[in-house]
Amino acid sequence: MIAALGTVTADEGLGDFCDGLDRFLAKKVDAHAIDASHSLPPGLLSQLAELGVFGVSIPEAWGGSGLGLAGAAAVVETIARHDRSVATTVGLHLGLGTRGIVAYGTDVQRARWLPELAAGTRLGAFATTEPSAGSDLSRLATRARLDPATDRLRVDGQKAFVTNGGLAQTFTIAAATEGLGGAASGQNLLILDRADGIVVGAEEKKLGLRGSSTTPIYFDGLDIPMDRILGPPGAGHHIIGAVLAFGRTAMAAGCNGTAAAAIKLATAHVVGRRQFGKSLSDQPVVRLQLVDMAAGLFAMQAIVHATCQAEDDGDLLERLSVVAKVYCSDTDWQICDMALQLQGGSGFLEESGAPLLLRDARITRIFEGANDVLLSRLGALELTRPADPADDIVSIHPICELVRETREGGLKYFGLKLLRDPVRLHQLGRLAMLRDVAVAVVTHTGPSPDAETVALCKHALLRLTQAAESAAIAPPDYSDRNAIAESIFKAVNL
Amino acid sequence: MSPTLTHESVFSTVRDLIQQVSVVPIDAITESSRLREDLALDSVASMELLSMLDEVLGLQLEMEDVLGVETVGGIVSVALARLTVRASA
Repeated sequence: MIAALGTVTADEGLGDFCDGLDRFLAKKVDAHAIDASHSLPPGLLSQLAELGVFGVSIPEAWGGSGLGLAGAAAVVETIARHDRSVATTVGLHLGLGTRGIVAYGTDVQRARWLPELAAGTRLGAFATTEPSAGSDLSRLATRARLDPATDRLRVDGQKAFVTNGGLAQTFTIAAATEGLGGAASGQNLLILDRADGIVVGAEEKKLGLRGSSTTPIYFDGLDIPMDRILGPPGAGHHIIGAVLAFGRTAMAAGCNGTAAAAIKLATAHVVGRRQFGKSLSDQPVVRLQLVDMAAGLFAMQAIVHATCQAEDDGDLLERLSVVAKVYCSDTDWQICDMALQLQGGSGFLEESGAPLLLRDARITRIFEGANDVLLSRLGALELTRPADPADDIVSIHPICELVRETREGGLKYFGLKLLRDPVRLHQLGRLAMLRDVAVAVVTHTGPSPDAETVALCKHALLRLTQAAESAAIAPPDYSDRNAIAESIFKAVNL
Repeated sequence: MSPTLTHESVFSTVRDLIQQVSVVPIDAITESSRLREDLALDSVASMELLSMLDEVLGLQLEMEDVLGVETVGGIVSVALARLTVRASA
């Protein structure tokens, strides 16, 4: 599939492919035009399909390139350097949109759907969020009920904020399936075709990612066969979690692309702009900000790389995907904000490009698991499955010690009650995230780095350690927090 | 042990708490139900359940008391053991 840009069979080939993709996008993609028109250029998705982009994460046996999560991440980062709407459209397909079928489909299901998805003649979408459920996947209102008379499923419900909703032909959706398979857990992913009778609602009007499609979708008595269930009937809870982990990582890679674009934009400005008789790039504070941005991107790429390496280890992938998603989206936001700041007043103007990057980046701290929810989850994971790294990485000892002190001190004083304290879990989750990123930075730097890489690694570890020292400060007392919150509610008559 | 906290009453309490963290119908919850496979509770959700039980029954459990618990019956056993220790203290 990828022959148009050179055969891809290994990381080096993937690099060549992404270089070719980069050149293609530089000619074909105008991010401002996409933003203004709220749509992708006609024919762009077909051209990307011809290049083999849509099959990167799909096994070769089903028409793809078999490059898995690393392939998806590399392609999404490359596209996001040019436009985040295009990256989101493709990334959703490569991640959440096809992962369920790739990893958990039967060969019959794979043979039916994957070849067209790999070719890009069909686009994939994924739908879990519901108007009343938000991030809580345990309370799905969309239901698939077995009709004993026909041995088929009837699907009723609706999904909100479905990326690719208006473009996709194949949807992987999460539904409650109580009673199926004799298992009581009662959740599954289902494969649905648009032709099954899915009703697609109007496109949402968004702050950013305006060229990507986001719609609600509705199911009103859809009649589908039992073979649309992914995994064991009634027992798909862990599959939903595993697919989300894969998709989160692809999304984090998109953050890296946007951050790279922001750094490029800011650098071009400060090099060309003169103030007080010298280039902005010669100002020490400006230089420090650029170094912060570059080291931040280095750390983002390190954690995405580490997460891709964990593709086949379910528990580790779950953990690192959360770390990558939260760290990359938060840092992307900071980098885009700094890029705007460095451009001064002109950065506030749309034509500078900085506002578009900032607007496109904003949603990534919310979708595919809101960052605050994920940090509390990471804190709980750190309590139940501590992930202290080996003691031989001396440069990260200070962060590791802060995590250990916070975790063990919390358990000592609060016992299991700590698991019911979202504020302390959030704090522990942030510390664990910073530690995991620091480990990834050291690993990414490698055993014999060049001088530039050493400097990036050193600066990234400095900033991560400073952030951990700040995060380790005990949160305000519970009663103080509540008293202030109550006074705020009272002041606004809530 | 408190005379009101029998094996049956602890099981009933555990079952009620499971209702707060799992979508499984209450009738389907038995002592042999496995937390992960049958109730779809991952390690974090299982610990949250134990934490809630800790609060309701005042068990003052430590993390090491509950690691390795895999079934509803295992939770009931941990709680009863803790209550017995406290009663004899």
